Amino acid sequence: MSLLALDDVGKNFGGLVVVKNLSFTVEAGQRVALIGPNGAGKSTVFNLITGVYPLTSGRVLFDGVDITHLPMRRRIGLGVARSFQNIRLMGHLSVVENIMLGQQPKAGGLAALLTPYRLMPRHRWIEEARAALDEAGLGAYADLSVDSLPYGVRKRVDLLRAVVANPKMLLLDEPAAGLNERETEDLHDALMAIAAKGVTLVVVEHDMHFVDRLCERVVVINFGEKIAEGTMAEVRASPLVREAYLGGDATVGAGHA
Amino acid sequence: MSGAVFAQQLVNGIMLGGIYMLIAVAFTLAIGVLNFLNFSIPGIFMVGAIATWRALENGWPWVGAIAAGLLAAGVASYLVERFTYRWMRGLDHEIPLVSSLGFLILFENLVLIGYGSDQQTFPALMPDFNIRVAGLVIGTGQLISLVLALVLVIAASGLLERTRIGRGIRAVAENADTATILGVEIHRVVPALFILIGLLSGVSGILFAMNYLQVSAFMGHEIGLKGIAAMVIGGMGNIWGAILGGLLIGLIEVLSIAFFGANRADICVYGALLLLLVVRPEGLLGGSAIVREKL
Amino acid sequence: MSGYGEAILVMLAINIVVALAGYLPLAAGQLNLGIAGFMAVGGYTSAYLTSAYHLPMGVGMAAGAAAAGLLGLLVAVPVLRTSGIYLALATFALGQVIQAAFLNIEAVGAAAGYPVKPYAGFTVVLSVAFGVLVAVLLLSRTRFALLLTATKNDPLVTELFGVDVRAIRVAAFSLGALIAGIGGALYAHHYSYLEPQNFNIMLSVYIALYVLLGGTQTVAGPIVGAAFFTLLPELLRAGSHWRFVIFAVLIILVMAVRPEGLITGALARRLRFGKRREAAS
Repeated sequence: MSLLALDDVGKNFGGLVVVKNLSFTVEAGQRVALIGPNGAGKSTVFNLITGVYPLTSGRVLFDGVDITHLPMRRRIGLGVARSFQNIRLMGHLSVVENIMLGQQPKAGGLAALLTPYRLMPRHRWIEEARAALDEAGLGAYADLSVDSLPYGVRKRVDLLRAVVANPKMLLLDEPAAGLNERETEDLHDALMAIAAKGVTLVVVEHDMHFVDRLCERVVVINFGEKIAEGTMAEVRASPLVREAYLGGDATVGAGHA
Repeated sequence: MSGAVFAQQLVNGIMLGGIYMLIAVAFTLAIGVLNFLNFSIPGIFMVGAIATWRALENGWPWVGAIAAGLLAAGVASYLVERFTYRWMRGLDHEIPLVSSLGFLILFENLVLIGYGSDQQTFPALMPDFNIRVAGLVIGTGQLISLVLALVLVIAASGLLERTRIGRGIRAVAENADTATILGVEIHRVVPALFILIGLLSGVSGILFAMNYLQVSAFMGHEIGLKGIAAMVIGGMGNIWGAILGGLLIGLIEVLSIAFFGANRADICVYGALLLLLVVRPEGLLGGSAIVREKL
Repeated sequence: MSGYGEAILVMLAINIVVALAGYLPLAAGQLNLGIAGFMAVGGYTSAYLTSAYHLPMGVGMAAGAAAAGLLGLLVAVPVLRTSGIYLALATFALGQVIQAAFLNIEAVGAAAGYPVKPYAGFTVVLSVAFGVLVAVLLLSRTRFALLLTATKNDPLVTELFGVDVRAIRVAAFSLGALIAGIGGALYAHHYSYLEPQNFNIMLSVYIALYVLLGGTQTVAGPIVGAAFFTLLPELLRAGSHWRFVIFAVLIILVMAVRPEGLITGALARRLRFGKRREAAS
């Protein structure tokens, strides 16, 4: 059974059809890219999987459960976490507190909510969050305000916050956007390490070189419809994909799109 | 209650609604264009009336005194723009709201320091005169106010539709950033809008003073707060909604006084507002109030 | 202590309690413009129970707090469906309705006012206020406080991390209402007389304003705001209207140059960091 299955999913905004008859599956442990020209509906697909938008038609199954109508806050508990294209950290919280938000799915219950952990030196939440930051090489930033950090660091904190939630599947919305070559390389290594722990990755990304190295499978959508699916080489060979990209803004396989 | 008495109450409610209408339009312009709940409007209402009263006390002719009141209201509103909206574009919507409350307190207390907290008598422009139509008594002053309010609101709406600056204001209402890109000079359009808001509030304050023949530092409270209720009930950002809301609030107030007594009127007026906010926050004529944010 | 000093401290204590009442919802990003209404519910409930049923003052105050909190809970559920300006407006309307309602309740004197018998002196007011402060400080050290801030910063992302944002907001709003009820009860029993006019919209506005002046990111914010509002006029020895003028100008200036209030989380962190560094060296 697939970990994630979109079954004939459709989404309209008013009269505008954004996603149409979209079906694809992601197997547990896979690294899959969702690509397509600008405005193809990629981010919308993420928003449908995470419940930000309700579906107009179709179903979403995760780990054997129909999550089509599940409230969005319940989905992370099943194992769906995501990062954000335009980094969405909490500006009024420190870095370590942002990471602690990622612990939320594991820290349920009223008692956990009302434990004055900040009065308890070495409380395990703080220790765990600091350990995660140290492991990611971000320990030096732990007590700083998020807003004071450089872009690349914020991007990594945003990713780490999602990882800390221990998801089965991680949805990454343009993780490499705005990163320089070295940062992109580090990101690749970090994501491979996450995948090695058995986390399934679904990536929306414009950097085709990055996608080619990271992902085993590619799903291409255009105007909200799936136009191709397979390995990068297979997808590149598809005339539909060539047409979509040549008419669009980039060439598949040109490295940076 | 007999039919004739009821009809008279309806007339009274509509007349009262005329006063709320202008204030509601001022509120709705600030909300609709700038997404700014401008609590300084009751203060500007009062500033317009007080300035007119002072000028009259100093022996100015009516025309000059009214001009002075309008000027004071326009300047006050411009000051509010200078210190609230201009600084805070893109910040929490609460910040300008808070500053505008600061201005309300500032205006009221400056007037208190200058002229004390007593009600001051406002001279009568015209002798009290009632018209009788089909058994209904209509106060001339109130009727003039209502007609003037409608004319001004329609004029303001025409200003928004037809003039260059009006088109600029509407472009800003759609999307401030896009408007800037399209060449709308936001630094001229927004102050112009505030001055318009100030003038509407000032006119409404002066009309109120002419009708009730008194002014005080806190005269804006009740009217201003009911103006907010009127704006919300009609639908925030909708000028015709503000007119409808003003009339409805006037009617609710007059009829609840007639049926339940003066002490219960506020329960009905604000209860209606609360109920509407719960069941239909977008108001009677407004579009959808709930805009889902995009990731 | 002199009577004057005690009077100031009592006023400060009550102002801090109601500031904390305004702070809790604001920490989650909700502006409550109806705090005076919840104070009225707390004050009148306690006054009525202690006068009409001769209950002890402590029980009366607890009942007043519970009544205000319960009303907060009842209205929070429908009212918090809206947010932003709509919420501020709904709380404003609610405060007006509550004030108008007490104008009509004959059992508590209606418009004529209501004398309150058991007297809460200096010690009682300060002890209760201190208790509320400690409770809120404790709460600010919990995950609940973390989620309040997260909710204010980005409700959608907070929800995506598994938080029932609506429940957090309802809790913050109702707890704030409960604390406002305590503040109202202290007011009632200390000043010994209640009038609906005491609980008008401007009281709610002042409370919201001094909390925002202090800042809504830490508990220190509302305390500083309340202290500022209470003590500034005493220090200036200015006439009562001038104090409001100065307060208004300050609000306008602070919102223009430092819209997050005088005390921000980043400032608090810097101070704490500095302490730690000093301790280390």
